[in-house]
Amino acid sequence: MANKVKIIIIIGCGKMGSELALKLCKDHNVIVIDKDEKSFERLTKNNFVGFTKILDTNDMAALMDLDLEKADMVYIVTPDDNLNFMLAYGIKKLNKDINVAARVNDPAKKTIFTKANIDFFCPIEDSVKNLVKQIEEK
Amino acid sequence: MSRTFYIIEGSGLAYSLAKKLLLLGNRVFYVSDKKSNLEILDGLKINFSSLELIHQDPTDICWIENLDLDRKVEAMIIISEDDALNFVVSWLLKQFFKEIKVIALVNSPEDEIMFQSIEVETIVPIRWMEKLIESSLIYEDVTDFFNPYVDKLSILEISIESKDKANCKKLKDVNLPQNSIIGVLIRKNGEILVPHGETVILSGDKLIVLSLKDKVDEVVNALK
Repeated sequence: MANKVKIIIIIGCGKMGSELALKLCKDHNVIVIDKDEKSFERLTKNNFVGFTKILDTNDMAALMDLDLEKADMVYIVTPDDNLNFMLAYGIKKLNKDINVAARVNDPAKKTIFTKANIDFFCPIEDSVKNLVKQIEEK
Repeated sequence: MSRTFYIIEGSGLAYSLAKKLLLLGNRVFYVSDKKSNLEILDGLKINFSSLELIHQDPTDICWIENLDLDRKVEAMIIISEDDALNFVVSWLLKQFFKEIKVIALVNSPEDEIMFQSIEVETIVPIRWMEKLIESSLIYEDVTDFFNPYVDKLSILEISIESKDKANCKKLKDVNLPQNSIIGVLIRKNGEILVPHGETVILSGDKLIVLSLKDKVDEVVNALK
């Protein structure tokens, strides 16, 4: 079912988290979590339809209390690779069936996520790949 | 016997800890990604040749993998102010060196469960401070600060004055409640002894009493 409405949790509402939330909220139920209320301004200014929740993203205990199992996908997109790792590791430990994808800012840190079997994406590497591809196709 | 310790990150705390370990004759490796931290510890090198400073990102997996930990390493102590960094380093160390003792600073008590899940020893200063403040608010004599079983067990320090019930009494004649015991007696002159039934309690003595938490009032009542 390609068109199924999914429940998506996004942890970290910076530039990437808010962009992702705004795109996904058109077709899915999106819950955005950040420790700073101000960060949600990026969403409210742009007709965001979904839920926001203020939660200290450093507070593992509080994150564990969320109904993460109900989410079809959890994106962890803070700018801190170490924090992304700790959160993703903690969520996977809580329930390995939860779908998690963590942002890796520094390509050199990818191996840590690989070693822990955590799904990740690396925006810098993806951009570089795209740029190289574009120039080679010209 | 000289032992080897790794201290990873941390600034002022790392300095004090390194100094202490070096004074005890140990070998210390200090690792930090921050030049400013290394500069803080650099002053110790003048007096201690067994201190080595390493400028390195401790979350670098290649570096950890290639660490030469063959020599007797007593513990890896990770004490940055960033719990997530402490977690990543602890986790990586545990992946490559299962047997090594890893001790991590946990700045937010809420993060402790994460570290426990990877079997790392934790230091949680905020918990200690809470205990200290709580105990000084509830009973001024309680020395619960060093008591890991603080939820159930109280350690009381009670000073005996001449007007107190226990003054000039033999220990066996003091009517302490069940589940409590006078563990140590400290005389006015500083002499410390483990009292027995015939020991006489005197004015000026300090008694260290172990008691279940719900018996504290009865203990105080029996002695004071």
